[in-house]
Amino acid sequence: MYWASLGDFLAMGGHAAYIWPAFAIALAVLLGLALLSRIRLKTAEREHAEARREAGRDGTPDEVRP
Amino acid sequence: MSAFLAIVGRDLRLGFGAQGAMLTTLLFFVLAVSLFPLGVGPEPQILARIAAGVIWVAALLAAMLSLDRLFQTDQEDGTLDLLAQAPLPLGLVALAKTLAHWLTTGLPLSLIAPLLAILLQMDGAAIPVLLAALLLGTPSLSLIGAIGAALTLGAKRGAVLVPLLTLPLVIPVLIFGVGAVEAASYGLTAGPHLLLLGAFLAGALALSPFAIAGAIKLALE
Amino acid sequence: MFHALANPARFLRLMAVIRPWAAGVAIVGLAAGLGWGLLYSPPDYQQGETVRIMYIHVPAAWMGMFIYAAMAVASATALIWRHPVAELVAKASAPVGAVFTLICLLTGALWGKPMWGAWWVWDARLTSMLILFFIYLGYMALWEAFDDPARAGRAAAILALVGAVNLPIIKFSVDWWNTMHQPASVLTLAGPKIHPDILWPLLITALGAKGYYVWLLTLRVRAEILSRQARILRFAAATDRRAD
Repeated sequence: MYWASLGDFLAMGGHAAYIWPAFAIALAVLLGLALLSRIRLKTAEREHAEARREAGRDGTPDEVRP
Repeated sequence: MSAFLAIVGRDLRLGFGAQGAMLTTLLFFVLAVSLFPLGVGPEPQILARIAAGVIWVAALLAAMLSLDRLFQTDQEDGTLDLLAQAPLPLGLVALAKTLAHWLTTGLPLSLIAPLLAILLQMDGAAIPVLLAALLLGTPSLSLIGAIGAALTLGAKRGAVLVPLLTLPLVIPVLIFGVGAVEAASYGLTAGPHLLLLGAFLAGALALSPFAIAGAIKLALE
Repeated sequence: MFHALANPARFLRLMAVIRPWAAGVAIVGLAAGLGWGLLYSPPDYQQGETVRIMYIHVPAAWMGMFIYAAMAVASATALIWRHPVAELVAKASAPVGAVFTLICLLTGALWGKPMWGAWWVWDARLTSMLILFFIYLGYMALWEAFDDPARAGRAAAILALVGAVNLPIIKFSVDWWNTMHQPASVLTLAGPKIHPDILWPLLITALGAKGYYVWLLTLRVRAEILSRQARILRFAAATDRRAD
């Protein structure tokens, strides 16, 4: 371990104002995109299930579908 | 060859005519450059320092102006379908139309640029280099721009999209073009910059007809 | 294997197998690499603790370029072999690559302020990354500009390839421009000799970032395939109704 104490670690040699935001922004952006991708997938899954149900109601067998 | 020239001739007549974008493009170019002294102040040193960059950036933007119409009008009235069925390969058709675009935008821009360079207090020795650099660089703008124009055929907001796609790709032309002029005004040789501009043009000339033809085929399907 | 992947259903099954592993690599790799960089690696003798921003900045820059290369390969595959899934892989890659490029730019600003005294310096590498970011945005805008996904996909593939040919030239021209205007006095972000204590966290973070990319691909490509199938189903149902 390089750091002597937690306080040292958080202070980052006086550059905390730059280092911590850099890590925070990066993680926030990566998490945000992951979350957005998950939401898109859930929406697509819902749309797909609905479309299948509607198509099924029309009585066309699924095998015909591309 | 005669088909190639026929396409160039037809587009030139359209470009020079009342409907053509040539005069508008030229006016835009002159106007955009004239705005800079008003924006940054009339000090000759500052103007001389930024002249090359201002003229090149204005040329880049002016070349984008009429690009979205390059293939679009022909697609709307069905000419493009006919051209695609002509015995001439589609890549050459694209090249002919791009040449016509350059003759109505890049060439007049380059020819009027020395006048603007004088207005911006550019060093006299650099002005012939500016002309040479523009003549070598603007055909690349038309070629890369034609790729953007062909890709956005039938797209929503095509007119805004073309510069967005094209401008990042022509940054090397801007850098080498400005570099040539600055080298000349510092009394250095502009040769390497002009050679790089020429190399970029050769590459664009060889490769972009394939991309343009591919994109036009997509739009006609 | 290659042609087997052209079948969306089979591709989806493969993606489902890969997904938990990719997520694991992402979480472990990013946590370990960044943790190592923050906790155990030494500060730079010149830059002090700010050098720790490098553990995000440099892998993000690598990923921005790597993902563009992956996108170009996927686009070539889509154009040459009409590989339907490759096109969707390219489409799903673009936002991830753009986000890594954005992280590189933002962390570059946060690193530049204490190092150069300015939030933004027109340094050759940062400028190249900015242009790459614009190219990603243009690519994504082109996808959104068409109603017909088939048309959008092939146009975007051509654009990705044109960009791939042009990017090395842009990189070269920006380096050229930079040496012309700023003689090499600028502090380079990564020194010529990299100490293993610095290199290892970088490599592990980069591996984690690759895992993250693959993980998001499994999510986004699946979403693309399902929404396209839903579109086709809806379209078929509508034509059926009209036929009745």
